[in-house]
Amino acid sequence: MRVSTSLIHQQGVQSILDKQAELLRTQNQMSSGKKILSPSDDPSGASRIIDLNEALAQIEQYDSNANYATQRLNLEESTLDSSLLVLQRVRELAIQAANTGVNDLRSEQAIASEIQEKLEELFDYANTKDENGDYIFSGFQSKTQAFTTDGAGNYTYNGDEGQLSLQIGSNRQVASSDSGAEVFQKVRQGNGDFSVDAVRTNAGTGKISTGSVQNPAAFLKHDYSIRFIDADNYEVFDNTLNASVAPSPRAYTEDGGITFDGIEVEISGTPAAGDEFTVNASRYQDVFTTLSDLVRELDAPGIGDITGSFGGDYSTNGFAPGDTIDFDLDFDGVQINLVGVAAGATDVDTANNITAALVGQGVTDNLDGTFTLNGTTPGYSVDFQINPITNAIEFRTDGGNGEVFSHLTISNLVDTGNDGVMLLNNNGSNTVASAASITSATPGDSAFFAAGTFDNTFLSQQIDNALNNIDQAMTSIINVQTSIGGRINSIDSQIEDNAVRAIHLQEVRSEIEDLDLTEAITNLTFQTTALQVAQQTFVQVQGLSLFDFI
Amino acid sequence: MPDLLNVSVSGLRAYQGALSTTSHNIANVGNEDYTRQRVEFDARLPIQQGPGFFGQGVDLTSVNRIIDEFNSLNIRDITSNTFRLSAFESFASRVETVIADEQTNLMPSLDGFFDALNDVANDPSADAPRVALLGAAEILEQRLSSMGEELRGIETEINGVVRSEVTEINAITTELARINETLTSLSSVDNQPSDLLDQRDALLKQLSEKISVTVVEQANGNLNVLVGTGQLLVTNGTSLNLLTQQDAAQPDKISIAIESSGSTVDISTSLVGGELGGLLDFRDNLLSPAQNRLGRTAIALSETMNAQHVQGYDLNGNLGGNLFSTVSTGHLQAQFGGDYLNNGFDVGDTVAFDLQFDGQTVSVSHTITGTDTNQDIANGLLFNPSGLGAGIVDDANVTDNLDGTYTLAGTTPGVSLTFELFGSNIQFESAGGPSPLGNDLSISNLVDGFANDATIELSSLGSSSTRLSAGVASSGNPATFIGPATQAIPNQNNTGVGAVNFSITDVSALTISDYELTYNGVDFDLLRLSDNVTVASGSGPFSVDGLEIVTNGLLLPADAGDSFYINPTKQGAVNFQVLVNNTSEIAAATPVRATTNINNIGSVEISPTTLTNATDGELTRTVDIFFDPANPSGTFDVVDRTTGNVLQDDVIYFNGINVNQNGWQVQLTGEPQAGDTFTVQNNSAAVGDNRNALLLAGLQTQGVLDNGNTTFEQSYNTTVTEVAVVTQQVQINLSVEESLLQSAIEQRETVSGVNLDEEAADLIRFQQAYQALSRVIQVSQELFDSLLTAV
Repeated sequence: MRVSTSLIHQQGVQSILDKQAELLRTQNQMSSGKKILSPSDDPSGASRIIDLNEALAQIEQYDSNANYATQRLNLEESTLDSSLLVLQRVRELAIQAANTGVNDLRSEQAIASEIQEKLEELFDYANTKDENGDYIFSGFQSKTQAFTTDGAGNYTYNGDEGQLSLQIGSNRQVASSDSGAEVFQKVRQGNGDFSVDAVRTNAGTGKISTGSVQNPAAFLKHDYSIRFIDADNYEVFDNTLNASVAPSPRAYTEDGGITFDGIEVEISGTPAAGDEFTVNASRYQDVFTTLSDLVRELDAPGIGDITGSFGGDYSTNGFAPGDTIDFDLDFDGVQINLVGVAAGATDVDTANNITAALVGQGVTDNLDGTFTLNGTTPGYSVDFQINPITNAIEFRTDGGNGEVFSHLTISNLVDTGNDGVMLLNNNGSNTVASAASITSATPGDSAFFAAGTFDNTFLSQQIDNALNNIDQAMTSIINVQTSIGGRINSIDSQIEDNAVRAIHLQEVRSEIEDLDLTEAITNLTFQTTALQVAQQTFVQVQGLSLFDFI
Repeated sequence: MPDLLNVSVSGLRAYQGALSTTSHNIANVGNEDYTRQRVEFDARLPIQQGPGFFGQGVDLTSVNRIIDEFNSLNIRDITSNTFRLSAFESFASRVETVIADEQTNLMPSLDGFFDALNDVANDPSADAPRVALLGAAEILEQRLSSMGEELRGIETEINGVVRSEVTEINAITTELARINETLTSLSSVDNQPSDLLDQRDALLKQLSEKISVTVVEQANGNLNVLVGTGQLLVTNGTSLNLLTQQDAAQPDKISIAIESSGSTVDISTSLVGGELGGLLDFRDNLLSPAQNRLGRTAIALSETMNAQHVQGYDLNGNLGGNLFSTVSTGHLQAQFGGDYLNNGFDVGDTVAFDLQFDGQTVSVSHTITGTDTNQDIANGLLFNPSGLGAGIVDDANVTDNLDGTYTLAGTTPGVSLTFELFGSNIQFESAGGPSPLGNDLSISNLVDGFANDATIELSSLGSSSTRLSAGVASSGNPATFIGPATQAIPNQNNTGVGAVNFSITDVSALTISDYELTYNGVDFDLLRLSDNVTVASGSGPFSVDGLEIVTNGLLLPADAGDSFYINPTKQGAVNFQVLVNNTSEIAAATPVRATTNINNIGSVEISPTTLTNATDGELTRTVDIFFDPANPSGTFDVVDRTTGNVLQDDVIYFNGINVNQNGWQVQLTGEPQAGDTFTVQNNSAAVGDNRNALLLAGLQTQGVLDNGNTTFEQSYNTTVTEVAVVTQQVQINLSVEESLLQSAIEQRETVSGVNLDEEAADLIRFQQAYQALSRVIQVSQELFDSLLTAV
């Protein structure tokens, strides 16, 4: 075949150009480490790589979400641990209160004050904030404090029931929080089905047990009252239906089972006629209210603390304006003799004059409307304040224990005209007033206030009820903890799954995308040699010409 | 006696010519377009002298071109293919770089956006993740819009390249015509100058680099050149120029036309081959689909994200607004008014009409007094100074900007129209981005008491963004100013004044195709261009492939043939923008929440709320689900707490029942007790609620296109893959064609190429012959000399 001079040249050059291009391509592959330099090199491979990159990016995000969820759940779990410890301590204290004897009211009050501290500690845990300043138990309202109190024993939950779910897998979400409602508020009272209680004004010594639902099918979730007609007979009254539960009446046997509508309870002790016990369907009661109620009961005035008032309505009781009043006040070894206290134009003035006179005799003015007299027994004192309606001087002792100390005596009342009557009132408390009044018409008349008889049956019932409620609260927390544990486990297993998947995807991607360096180096060597050969042969062939020989 | 001298001289002349041709060949060894020339020798006719015939020497009878014409044809064809593929490939690689480069492709910014969404879902009340989300959204916007802009830049560049190609083609055809002319005047068919023919072949090859041509040889040796479906570019000595013009249907594109019987005919679709064919092929079959795909991905992102975002609550307790927009932000800009007194506005007449804009209707009326000039009338329509009737500014939704302009607020938040008096016209301009149908302004219900012949002139002030449905508004004939955003492009050859708007109503049904709506004199036909299927016919509006297409304005039977081009997705990426710039406006929460009453005795639990209809106006009203003790056992009521109305009465409860009300849904499970209550209410202060953010983040893995089968990533992936597959195909074909071209060139060289060694051999041969003949002459001289000396 005939070749032309230009063809020889052109083919030689083309060969060099081709080999240079191949070499350059290999060089680019090697420096980027990738087989695929642009999608057109391997369209289906490039498409798969885009899919794989997306899947890997998602897994990375899921992992990040999962770690975030784990952190939040760890914080919640440790808060719940601390809360449980608090409740366990309260439980111990409550049992201690039940056992160490309700006669030792100073210890009862000491226990009450420790439980109050524990209550405040638990309250703080419920209002835990995370590192961003968000309340972890407020549901979705994370900038709103979860629980607030009005200081009078009322607790309000200000959040909602939302749970923050995070996406940890393509089809899996996990709740990274629990609402304060779920943990602390939606705690069933009593045994979970119903709660029992005695009425405060019961005169007898009856106590009702926790009871249980024996026949779920018959259980109606109604509210009932067990009323004692007399010491031996009672009836069961369904307050929801407003009807008695047959049979009615029933005979009372101590510790005998009382069954109605699937419920079984027992009453022990000796109830009196008119005594009443309630059996109500369990409502929700938050744990703070439970503890706060317990504190209130333990702290209630009883032996050792007396309350009452003396005086009041002076102008209608013979203390005319301008009269002078003398009387003595005795308390815990301290005697105050008041002489010449002026009755003022109004009852308010009279009351102020009395308190001023007391202050003049060593009673401390606390400058907040209250006055304190310290007794000779260390820690034992009595506080006075003026009742704004009756203008009587109300008092309340503090720190007392036992009958010996709990006396306040008023005596030797003298007033101008000898017609004054000093009213004495125990204001419905347990305190016993030895008389309703003393008059100046009877010189030497004296009366005292003393601690009333205290029946520990009611307190004992309250402690039992509180223990039940505390157990319910602990169960509620433990349930949430168990759920958290399960969630953390499932997050961990999801993270593991994610890791395995990620490795697999990376392997697949590497196979498609990554350059086999050994192969590439071989190619590079081969192509370099081929280029050199092309260049050398070109030079050689180009040099051949007949004109060299002419 | 044979004449030694004459014979020798004839030989000398012949070999001289041969040597000259050989040196010509050698001189042109570097000329690629050169075909080698060979001389033909013919012996002269012998003369009978005495015993025999004696030869008279040799003549050089011709100089021939050694060429294979079929091979030339072959080379031209393969060259056209090669250049077509090469032009295609070079632009296709650029598109690949734009959309698929590792650093600049869409996936990192898309993934980054969803990562940021997840981080907001993890901690909805914190500010930092929200700030990061806005940042990621900005990056996404920048990426999409710059990709869209770069593709648009390539489109514009192609227009420029096409223009210069056409200029070059015209230059070549002019030259070819001139050569034809020269050949006919210089020579005869049988004996044409080889070098001129070489030049012509070279020009033809150059031309075929640019476009596929068919060459037809004429009887007089001229070549006629045809392109496309038989358009003659060169006829003997005349050439016809190709023209470039704006494509009548798609003004962004350039089309190529030729003048034929007095009119210009668009021949773009019939031009194939060469760079020009490659460019057009690339533009229509790779670039436009890629633009549409990318645009569709952007639109899907915007629409689906928006649809979910407006179902959520932001940090201020308000329903979310749109996160993104992909509609261009052009606006209405025009005026109405005119020469009222000559247009039926008579003295004593009260003229009234309604203006309608974005859901608001402004009623205008003015009584014309005897002294009113046109300007007074315009003043009266706008300001109503006399207090009679109603001016535009009297409308409750119009505010005085205290600078001579007045603004009407639309029903869509942020959309408004501002009016201003200008002579006897009322000018207006819209703001706030268009609502789906281009925020049109309509003038309707025009009436006047006398004769009812009032008309109002409309003018778009030359604004290309505002079109008019009619030149005037008159009684019974409303007129509309049509905003720009989602307008179909009217063909430049349209004779009517109709206009067509479209909006995207269902992203998941959206295709990547463009559409053409044609008026056939009676009604419309809608053609889908990707598969040439007529998808709808009638008077409209049309609801097809996720689009709602509305025709307005008047088309007369005489306007048959008018057409409108609809490309719903092309601008999606370019126009993609982020609308939210305030972190508190990110709607991560759900508008309602469900709560359990603390006094409930039963064990029923209520699920978190989900939304079935976020647009329900009653969505956030407080609603109680109450197991009323007065009800039949096992039933509950759904009650509006504020009004006490029972919305659903005595609903029978079963474990797992779904309760739907006011656009939300909850599920109840467990055992209820009479008296139990559950409440669904406004989710206020829920800064820690991430439910909507979770749903937004979840859109990453959901099928949002192609009727729920394609995710964002997959649609982007397809965009890249389609380009890659075509590019790879072209690259493979290109290398095949290149080697075919190489073979054809080899073939040409074999026949027509100059071989220096061969020429060298010829040089020696002719030189020797020349030398020999010189010696013969010398001998004849010696013979003559010896004759002379003998005498």
